[in-house]
Amino acid sequence: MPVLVAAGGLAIALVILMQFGLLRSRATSGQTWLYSFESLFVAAFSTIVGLATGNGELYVLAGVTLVAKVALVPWLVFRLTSGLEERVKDEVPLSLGVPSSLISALLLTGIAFAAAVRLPLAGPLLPSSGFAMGLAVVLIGFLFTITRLNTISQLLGILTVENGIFLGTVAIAPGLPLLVGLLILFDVLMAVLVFGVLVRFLAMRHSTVTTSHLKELAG
Amino acid sequence: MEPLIAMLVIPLALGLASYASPRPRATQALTLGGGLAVLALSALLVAQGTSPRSSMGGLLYLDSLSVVLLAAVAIVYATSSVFAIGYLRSEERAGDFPRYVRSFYSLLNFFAFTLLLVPATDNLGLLWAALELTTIVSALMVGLEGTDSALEAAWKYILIASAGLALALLAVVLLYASGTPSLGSSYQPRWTALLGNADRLQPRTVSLAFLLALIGFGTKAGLVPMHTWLPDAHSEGPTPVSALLSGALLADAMYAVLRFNAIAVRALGPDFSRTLLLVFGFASLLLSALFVLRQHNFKRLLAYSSIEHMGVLAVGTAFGSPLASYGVALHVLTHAATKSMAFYGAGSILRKLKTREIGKVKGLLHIAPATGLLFLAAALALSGLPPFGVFRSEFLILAGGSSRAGGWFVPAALLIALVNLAFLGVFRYTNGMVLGAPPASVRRGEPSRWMMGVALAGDQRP
Repeated sequence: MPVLVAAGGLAIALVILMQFGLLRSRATSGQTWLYSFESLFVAAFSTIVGLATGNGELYVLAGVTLVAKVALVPWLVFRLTSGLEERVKDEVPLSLGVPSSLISALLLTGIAFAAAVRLPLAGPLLPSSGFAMGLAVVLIGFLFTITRLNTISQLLGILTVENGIFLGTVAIAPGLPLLVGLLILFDVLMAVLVFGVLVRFLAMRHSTVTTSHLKELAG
Repeated sequence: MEPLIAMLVIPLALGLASYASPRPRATQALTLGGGLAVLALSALLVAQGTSPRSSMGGLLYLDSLSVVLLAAVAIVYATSSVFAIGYLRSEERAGDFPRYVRSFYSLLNFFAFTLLLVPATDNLGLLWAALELTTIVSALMVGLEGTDSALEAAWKYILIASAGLALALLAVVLLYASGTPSLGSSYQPRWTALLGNADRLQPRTVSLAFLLALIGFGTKAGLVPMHTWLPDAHSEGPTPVSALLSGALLADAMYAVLRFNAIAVRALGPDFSRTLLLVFGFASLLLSALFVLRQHNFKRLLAYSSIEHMGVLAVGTAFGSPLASYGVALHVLTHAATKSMAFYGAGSILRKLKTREIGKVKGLLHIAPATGLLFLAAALALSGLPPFGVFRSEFLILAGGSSRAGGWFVPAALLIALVNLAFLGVFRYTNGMVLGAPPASVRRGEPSRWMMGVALAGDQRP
């Protein structure tokens, strides 16, 4: 059991590390890889909690996560960006610089911890820190989405938010029925496809994926 | 249960058929039939009575509230399937018309399927998944015109709604976690089960879950300050989609809030959720009234009016008395019928005059009398004037709020003031559009009879 606790803690730490790395990364390719690795560590945490509880459904969820979020979604995103010019992909414009983003992310992590320890959460493995880190990933994902002015990065930001929720769910509610977990993953895949269609159309009309021209509608 | 299953299978099958069908006319006829069939089935459900019943382990579930929502969605689905025929008429000569019809109708039917699924389940996980699917399908429909502003609106919509629904998912997970000590570590997240055991849920976790649900589902419902996607999506999407978004989708999202509210009230007492609902409700009423007053685009005007009506629903839910709750349920129906009718009028004007600018529309009564009268009637009804249904439902909400012992006098008075402020804005602009002298260059005549017939069919009486 202590081995599992240590391994679970390591997986959680790696997830949050990837999320911080996302704020550092300026190229969409690097961001996509970081998302893929983050999903891998989320799947690892799910497997570890499965080992701790003997709940086989968690292995299934980990497996589906591997196929869908570690492999399929990054592949789709890479395909989406393949036709775009280098300048756009390698230097995503920011509305908040990297150092300020990282400091804000540290603050958000603190807030997530402060909120999580106030809740009487129960779970088989690291419920409080797992949920706190899941919440931190959610908040940092939102920060990333609103400060990265590029449709690909915004899509990845929303996807990491979902990763954070998945991490928190495995920590505090590993018994959530498999059907619900699969439905959520199905929705994620559908959303990626639709986001992809819109990115393609926007890119076709403006030959770029930055969001700077998306400010026609107001009031 | 069988009518409900048929109601879900019909739009799903039609969605697939519309995608496969090579002939636009056949697609339109099939969808028309499907919409009317779903409407008839919803009437059958209403007639069958309101005792709660479920099947397939709670995946399908019906009680009186879900029947109200199903009826609201069915009304808008059926009327929009008629209206769409007229709305697409002017595009028929375009070269890519068959392709447009294919995507439009398959998405329309899938959208209706997801909208009908939301109120038809007891499983909070499935409810969340269905609401997320409504976003995914409708975002494509909002962007369907392919113009710059339509794509921008679609992007804004899917991004903001997905972010909101992420918080709502967190709410579902937290509510589930609040029940694990008493319901066991693995159970089905059924609303009826959680409601039945509400006093054994962990109060602190439930309070965070409700807050997240209100913000998350409230984003989809267009509550201020999470509403920013709504005016764009409503004004840029094709008009039948605007009607579905406003009449059916917003109501579905409010429905999710109502379900969470019921659990929160029983687990925490009424005060916690009431305060939050009043804050968001009045913020929505105030801001939408102000934006209605300074609007230039008549589709956006209607969109802000939808935010106002969601505010009315939130305030009515906060009142919480049986009479106010009855008013809320009736308001869902009257708003669905009235707002879709207003959007059909707006779409008809858009097709006739090719503009969304309020200032460019004058003398509708001379140009297209039926459209003009219809739009005026819809605007008056939306503003809550008697003898229309919205008057009655808003009156019930107010009566339910002010009849409480101890009184909700201040909120009720504030509600009256803000509703009237919005009324002033809507009435001022529609007056200018409908009356007055028409510009000389415009030919007289209604754009299409298909667009008119349906709008009059929307039942306006209580």
